[in-house]
Amino acid sequence: MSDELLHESLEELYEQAPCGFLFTRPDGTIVRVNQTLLSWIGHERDDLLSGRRFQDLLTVPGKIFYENQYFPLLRMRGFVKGVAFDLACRDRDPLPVLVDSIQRIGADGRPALIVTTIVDATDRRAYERELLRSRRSAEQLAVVLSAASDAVLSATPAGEIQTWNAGAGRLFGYSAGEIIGTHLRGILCPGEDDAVWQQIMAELRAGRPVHREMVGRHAQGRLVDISVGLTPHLGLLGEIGGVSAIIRDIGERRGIERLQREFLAMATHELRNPLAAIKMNAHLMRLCAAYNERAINTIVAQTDQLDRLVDDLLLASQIEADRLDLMPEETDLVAEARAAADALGVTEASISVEASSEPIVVWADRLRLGQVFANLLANAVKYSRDGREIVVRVGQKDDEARVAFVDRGVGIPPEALPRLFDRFYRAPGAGAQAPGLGLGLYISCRIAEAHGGRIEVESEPGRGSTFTVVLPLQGGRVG
Amino acid sequence: MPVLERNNVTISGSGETPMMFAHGYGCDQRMWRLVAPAFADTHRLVLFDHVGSGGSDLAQYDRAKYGSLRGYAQDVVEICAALDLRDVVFVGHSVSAMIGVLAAIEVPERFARLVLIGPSPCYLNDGDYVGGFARKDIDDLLEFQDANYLGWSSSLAPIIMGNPDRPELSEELHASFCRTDPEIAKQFAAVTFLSDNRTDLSNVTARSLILQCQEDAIAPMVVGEYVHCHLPDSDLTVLCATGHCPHLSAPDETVAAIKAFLDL
Repeated sequence: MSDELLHESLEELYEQAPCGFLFTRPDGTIVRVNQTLLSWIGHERDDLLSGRRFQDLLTVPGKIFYENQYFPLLRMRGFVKGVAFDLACRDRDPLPVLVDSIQRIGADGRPALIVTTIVDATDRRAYERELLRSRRSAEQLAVVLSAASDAVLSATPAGEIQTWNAGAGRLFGYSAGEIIGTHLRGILCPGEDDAVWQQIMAELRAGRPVHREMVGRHAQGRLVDISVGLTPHLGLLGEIGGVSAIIRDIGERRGIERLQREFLAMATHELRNPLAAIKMNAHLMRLCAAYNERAINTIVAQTDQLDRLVDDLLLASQIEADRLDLMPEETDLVAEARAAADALGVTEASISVEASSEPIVVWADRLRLGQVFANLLANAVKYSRDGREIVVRVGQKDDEARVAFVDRGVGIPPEALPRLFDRFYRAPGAGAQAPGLGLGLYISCRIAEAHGGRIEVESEPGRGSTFTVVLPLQGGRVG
Repeated sequence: MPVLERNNVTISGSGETPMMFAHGYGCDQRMWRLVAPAFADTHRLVLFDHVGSGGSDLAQYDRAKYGSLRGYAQDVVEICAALDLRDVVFVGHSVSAMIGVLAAIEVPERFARLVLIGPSPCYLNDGDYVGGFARKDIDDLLEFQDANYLGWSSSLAPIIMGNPDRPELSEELHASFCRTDPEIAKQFAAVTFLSDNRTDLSNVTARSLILQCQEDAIAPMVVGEYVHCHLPDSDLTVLCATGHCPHLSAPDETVAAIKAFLDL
């Protein structure tokens, strides 16, 4: 092999190398460049060697980076490794590259030459961008997960908890540090015995998700009603690689379901009573084949009671569905209060109405308002002791009208006060005294709210209660 | 003292008059190694790192505080107070020139002279004002930061042709030079290049020297002239050196220019 061939090959290797070679003075002026680099940037050799500098080949951010970091590094450390730049090219988009430079010191001890290798980094830059994008997306997802109100966790195929979000911490009362590594069985109780767990694991291993309602165990020992969604993650060979779980507290929902069941039972019972009385009296008359005034009176009264009960149910469901249609008109509260007191008629208690002689006018649906007054009055009578007076006080304060129903009855225990206006709620001590569905206060409260007002309660057990209907004076809005 | 630790303050020199060196964006106090020693006999040299750079206490980096150059200026004021420095000769490079300006306005009684190397009060072009950059350039720069964050950890690019000759920094130091937390670097870049302190210049009372290089892509000649016009009591020296870091590329010329200014 001749020296000439070797020499030519070396020349060619340099000029046509897979990377660009660049030799510059310390101030960046280009003194030598290989063909590869020239081809990349689309310049002629003479052009580049006519006083152009390396910095001139860079984009604006690159120039800034060159001055602030690349040059100081090179000067102080003697080399720079793997710096990303974009080369400005003629006739094409800037070329992403990686640059290595070495500083050579001259005989006088000062930097004399910089030797630079430039590598095409197009693919690598694209990969890095993708990596960054994925990382950002993962970070966003992590934020969503940590803020989620549901419990989101994952476990190994053996059931050991691996990840644990803030929602899980709130639901079960454990911090991530406390729970990670422990078994799912510590917090989930799907059933009394092992068989249920085996069944769940079998489903998961078969690649099928499992959704169940069950009981969970809180760190403080109490049980919580939960709905659990378990999803298996399968590996390449179909083996189970892990399990993720989304768990939701359904305690509140369960509570409401329970109340609804109780209500249904009670409503059926309440509706049956008047029906039974009607049936019995009707049978009686048929048997006797004669008109019986007492029987007829009972039938009519019980039918009215049924009517009221059904009305209440209907109204409550309308309110619930937000389909309460009000027909407001100018209403004098004083007149309405007096009318309600009269309608209740002479009963076990006496009702007195305290009001000014001037009318107090609001914009209200007279029929519905009448129902509210009737309900509150009926309650006052119901929970009153015999012979005690009930007072209805009509007045105004600031820009609100106030109608207070004051009784000296058994009163309401303080713990019952917050729940008083809930659907289905019967205050303790109501019991057999008070037939009805327990919807009265709920309906009254919502009607008051629909008028832009509210109902206020004050009560002391043993002393009595005051229910006050507050409504905006005319000029206020009816919601 | 906590301030001195926070900013990695190093003190040397046998003179009395304090000479404080503030590095610019990108590196740390080690970039003064070719220039500062020339003043060791005549001055007390106070070098430091901005929080987030070099050997500063990264844990004390506060995004709210350092969201403006005033945060950095406050640190300079605190260092002066901690050491009770008077008649300070402040040498600031690049963005630290403006940081020095802000500090000197805050506590003018502490600063006697300002040496501003490659200063720019505003990098963005604004109407008739030429800062040298468009907003898009700065957006591109901040995006470019990401490319070099990942690039720093690369060992893909080969080093060919032997070893570097006699580096100015010893081996154990080189790994951390010009390297900082990427999130902090990004914020510092944004704060630097989006700052606008043109109106502060006229409030400076200290005598100032502006060192301007030829072909400085970051602080072009027209900007140096602007600073000279608006800084009362200032001299402008145009160096033969090119680029943005004459204290690295032409340390002798830089030292000579400063000495002339200080009548040394």
